[in-house]
This record gives sequence, C-alpha cells and structure tokens, in this order.
Amino acid sequence: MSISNKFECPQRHSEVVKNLLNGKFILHNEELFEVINDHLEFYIDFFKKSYDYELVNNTEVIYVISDITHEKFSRNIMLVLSVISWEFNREGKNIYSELEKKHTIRDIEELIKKSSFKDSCRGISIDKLLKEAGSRNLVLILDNEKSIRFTSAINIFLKAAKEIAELD
Amino acid sequence: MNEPALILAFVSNYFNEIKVIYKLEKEYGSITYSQLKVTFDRDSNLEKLFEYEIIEEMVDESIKIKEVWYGLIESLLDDTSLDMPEQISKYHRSLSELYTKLKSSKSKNEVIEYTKALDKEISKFESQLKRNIKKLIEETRYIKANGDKLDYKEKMKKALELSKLYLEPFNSIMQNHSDSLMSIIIDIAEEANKQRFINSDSILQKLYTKVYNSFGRVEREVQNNNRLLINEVGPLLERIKSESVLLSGFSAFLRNNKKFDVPKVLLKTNHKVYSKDAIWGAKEIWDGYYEMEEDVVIESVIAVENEWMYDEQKYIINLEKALPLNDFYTWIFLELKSELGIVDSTVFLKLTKLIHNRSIEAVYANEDRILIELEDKIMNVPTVGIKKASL
Repeated sequence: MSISNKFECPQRHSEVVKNLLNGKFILHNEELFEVINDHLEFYIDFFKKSYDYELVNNTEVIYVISDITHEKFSRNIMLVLSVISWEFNREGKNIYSELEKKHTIRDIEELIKKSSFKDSCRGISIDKLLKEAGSRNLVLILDNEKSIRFTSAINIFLKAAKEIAELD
Repeated sequence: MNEPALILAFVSNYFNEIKVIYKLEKEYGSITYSQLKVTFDRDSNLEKLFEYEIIEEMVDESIKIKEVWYGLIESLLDDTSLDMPEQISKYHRSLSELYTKLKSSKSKNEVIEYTKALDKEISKFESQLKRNIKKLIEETRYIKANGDKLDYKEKMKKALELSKLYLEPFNSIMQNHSDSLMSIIIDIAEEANKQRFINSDSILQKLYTKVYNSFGRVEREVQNNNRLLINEVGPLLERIKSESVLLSGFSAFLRNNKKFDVPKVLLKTNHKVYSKDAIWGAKEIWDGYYEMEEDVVIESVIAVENEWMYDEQKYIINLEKALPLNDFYTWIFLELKSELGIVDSTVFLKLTKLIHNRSIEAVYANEDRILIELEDKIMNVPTVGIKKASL
C-alpha cells in the first residue's frame, strides 16, 4: 500500500475532530455540519480507522458512537425526557412544542419533583445532567446557566422511545 | 290529507322503531311484513305507517321506506358518514356509469334523463362529502381541545379511526390517476362545458350548464377541503398519533427502564497521545508478563530516605547568598554537585525551576550558550545572570 506522505484534510478538521471526540452532537444549523457533510466519506473513514468509532449522520445531526457508550448519562437523559414529556401531556400541553421551548432548570426540577414518576429520577442531579447535556449540544444553556432549550439532537431519544413503544 | 304535524309527531313518538326498520332496509334492501309486526307491537301503528306514506308496498309485496323519508332518516342518523370508503366506491360507480350512458345517448330524451340523473347524483355526493368533512373537522378539533381529558391511548385510537374513516378515503378521491373519482368529476365538468356550447337546443344547453356548474362546484369543494385536510387535519392527526406512540414508549421505559437499551452516546475519553510508540512500549511490557509461566510478584519499592527533594525555600536562600550571579546554570550544577556528588538531568532540571522565584530576576546579558556535562546527558544552556528582584 502506498501512502502519500502529505496529510490532507478539510479545513477546520481539528475543530471537527475535537468536537466529535468530546461526544458533541453537531447540529444541522452549525457550520461544522456542512464541513463534515461535504467530506462525509473522509470522516466516516477517519473515525473508523483512527478510533474504531462509527460516524452517525442524518438530516438533523452528526455524532460519533463506539461500543463504549456513556450508558448512565444516556439512561438519565432518557428518564428525564420521559418524565417531563409525561407531565407536559398530563397538563394538556403539546409535547413537541413544549420540548422546543425554553425552560428554566428550576422549572424542570419542579416538574419532576411533582411527577408520580419522580422516583425514576431519584439520585439524578438535574442541574449537572443538563450541563453535561449542554457540553454535548443536546441542550443549549441560556440565561447565565439558569435556563435550557433542547436541541434537535434529542430526537435520537424520542426515536428510541418510539422504538420501545413498538417493542412493548 | 293528513296533518303534517300529526305525521311528524308519529315519527317522533316511534322513531326508535322506525330506526329499526330503516336499518333492516339498509341491510337487506327491503322489509318484510313479519319484521314490521315484530317491530311495531300494535297493528294500528302499522296501518299509520302506510296511511302517512312513510312506507309503501312494492309490486313484489316487499316493503320499503319511501325515498323522502329514507333520505331524511339517513341524514338524521348521520349514518352515511360512517362508511365513506363505501360511498366513494358507490359514487365512483354511479357517476361513471351515468357518464358512459350520457356519452352513448342516441336521443334528446336520453340526454335529458342522464344529465338530470348526473346532476342529482353529484348533489347527493356533495352533501354527503360536506357532512363527512364537517364531522372529521369537528372530531379532530374535539381531540385537540380535550388534550388534557383524553388518555393518550384514547387519543391514539381516535386519531387512527379518523384517518382510516375519512382521511384515507378522501385521499383516494384525490388520487392523481385517470380513474380516481376526482378525475371523473373533472371529466364530466369539462364535457358538460363543451356540450353547452356545441348544442343549439336551449333545453340541453340549460341542462349541460347545470351539470357543468354543479360538477365544477364539487370540484372546487373537494380542492378546498383537500387543502384544509393537508394543512390542518392531517398534520394534527399525525401529531396525535406520533405523540401517543412517544408517550407509550416513555411510559414503558419508566415502568422498567433496565429492560430497554438507550441510545449510544460516546463516552468521553482522553485522546492525548503522549508518545507515538507508547502502545508498543506497553505491549512489550505486557507480553513480557504474559509469556512468563511463574507467578509475577511485584514488590512495592521502598522510598529511599535520602532521595533528593526540591526544596525551593532552602535553595533560594543559598542562591540569594551568591547574588549577583553571572551564570545561573553553572551555579545550579555546582550547588547540586557539592550536595549530591553526582548530578543527573532530572535533579538538574528540577532545580532550574528556581529561576521563577519572585525574589530574583533573570538577566539575559548576551546570547552565549554553554555546555554543562551531567551524569546522563550534556545540557546546552544559555548564560543567564541573576540579580535580586527590584520590588
């Protein structure tokens, strides 16, 4: 196999790699989304051959996964989303539009606290969890870290819920 | 002539029984005497049914509800809205049959007969279509308005039912192929438009204009409703279905979350590579252990008591005594040499940290460099002077 000695990569390559290796979801409205999409084959190969990671891309979001997954974080996010969606519905609100709105972290904590499913979230620090979610672009952290807004990346969790509904 | 109010009062009093015979006729095409006798307990009431011309006996002795009453009961019960798919196929059949007959008509009378029949048929279709659409919109809005009262499973059931009963049949009307009901309606309207100008007979002109107007109106009606369904009802039903699926998934997950997988999310790891050969170094060590057959005992190393430690306080005092200095690195070397005898690069580099102490100041007088020979390597260092820091 002959390998060119010159390493060629797209512009902003290091930014792409840093973000994805940090477990970040790159959203469709970000410039990096375009960069990756324009060099999709390169990045699929790059992550597969460098780290044995799989690059997942759909119309809304791009991220990488591996067999070593952050199970606890993912499960906690799923639990929180389940409880708050359940509560939004109980209050007669539209789940999808509620999930698109800005909420204060305190409101989310209160919503969980008064839910009959609150035990499912026992032991989860909502504040910490949402900040970690912020570092991954699952939520936007707003108003001096007091509020959040879910991004379209949470659709992977909503899709998982729909798959569970089919299984159950 | 009977008093209309009397007839209506009778229909009102015996509406439950009338409903029964209406359903029998709807199912079997006609009613028998014995069915009537079972339904109406008194013969006098049976007689009134004939007397008020609510039912009539046919030539073959079967009994039917008179058309005007049948239509009225049908619309009162709103029964027709329940089988939109059937209605569509019924009108699809009747309209295309009448259209074929009209096109092959050989006499003026035939043309009159079929244009009138087409006009009547499309009017019936129009009123039923309106009723269906109205009901669909009402029911959808009911679900929307009662979001908090209805259980998500009920909402889901209702949305599925509405899609199946109304939306899908409606879409089949609109299908974009030459045999859809919509295409037949458009064809008839176009043909009637053409014929009303070709024919010189004023009666035919009037009839074709009537057909053209009524078919054109239904066409617009269907188009408008289609827009309404596409923009409002369809998305709403889809959303209700989608929300319900979401909630049933979340509720199953909350009941026993350990039973289900969650999306894979990358575990953040430290990807810094300290040495490109680190993995080979580690592999070599590992393989070394792996191939050994006897037990490996790793003994903890007892720290050497008189191991050299970097003590900033001690050395800064020594350094200050030697100020001003012209060559910092040589001073370091000599200091360590006198203390330890042997100076290696590790201790040498550790002590050079002293240069950052705030009580002293480095002076770079020239660019000369000197070589300092240590136990394990030769250091190439600049000549740096040191003076007491000016506070």
